[in-house]
Amino acid sequence: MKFLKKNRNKFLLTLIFFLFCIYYLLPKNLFGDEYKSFDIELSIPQIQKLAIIESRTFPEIIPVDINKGYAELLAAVTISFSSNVPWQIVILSPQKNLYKSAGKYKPIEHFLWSSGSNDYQPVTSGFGLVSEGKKGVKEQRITINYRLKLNWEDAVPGDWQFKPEFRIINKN
Amino acid sequence: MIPALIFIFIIYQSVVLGENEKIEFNRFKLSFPAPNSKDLDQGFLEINYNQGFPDLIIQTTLKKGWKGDLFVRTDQPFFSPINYQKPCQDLLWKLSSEPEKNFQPLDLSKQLIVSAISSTEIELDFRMILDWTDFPANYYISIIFSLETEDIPDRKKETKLKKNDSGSNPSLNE
Repeated sequence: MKFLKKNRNKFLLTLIFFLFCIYYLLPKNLFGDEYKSFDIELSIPQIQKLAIIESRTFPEIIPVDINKGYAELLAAVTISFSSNVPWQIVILSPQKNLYKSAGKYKPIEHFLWSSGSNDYQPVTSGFGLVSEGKKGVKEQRITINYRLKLNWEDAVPGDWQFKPEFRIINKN
Repeated sequence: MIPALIFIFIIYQSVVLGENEKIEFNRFKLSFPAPNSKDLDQGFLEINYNQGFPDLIIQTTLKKGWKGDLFVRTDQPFFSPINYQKPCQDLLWKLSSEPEKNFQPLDLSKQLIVSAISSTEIELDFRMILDWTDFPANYYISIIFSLETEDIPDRKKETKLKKNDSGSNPSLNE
């Protein structure tokens, strides 16, 4: 300590000289380089979309259809959908009857649907599962076939309209 | 004696050598807007806070007579949260002045943004690759900018030589 006090100026000079040397003589990267990090954010929400890209109507019902017990419309509807979450495509009916006329009515269950080579199932007011998937999909297409049960008792003449509803929902 | 030496040292530092190298940003972080189905269909999303303005301005400060290379990289192979495995390469960057084809993916290895021999302002644009397989989440990633500097030996001599050779003012930028 006494030595330091006596030679205070010399010590400080040496220290400054030493620091000066470190600064200029050591590899430049040790002091010269500058690093800075920067954050980038992205928030992805749940996104699903569904569109009917093709739709056909039943041709006029003829006696052969009624005798057969049904009229069939293959590739009646083609839907396209995309989802970034596990998804389900469902079909449902917004109405209870296909039509009601002069005390006669045709229940919605007489309208059947199928996708691909699967069996026909009746449309109901609840969700009917058309297809489902665990992963995100882009513009996947599904084609639906329709079948209308017929008999001579309830095949009432007239123009009847029925549009089943398709929805895409989050499977979870 | 000592104060005088320190004073001379400080003056030498600030006047002759100039400021130390620095990287400064015009904002603290960047947030992409929430994507919609159109963005997922086209496969990418851009920030575009203001049309015609860069997403990020980086101000680099160099010491006089030093040259600097500005690099960008990340040390995260995937965006956080990592369980969705969105790769860091989904973030693209380019100099704002460059055409769209020059967007290049961020990487774990450093990529040169620009080399300069004077303090300069660098404007960057970003683009995020998106897909319908990107699960909904709040993603984030830290990118690292590094300014690697190097003393330019005999810069004055070179400048004088160029002046003598061409008779015109030598360019300071590489």
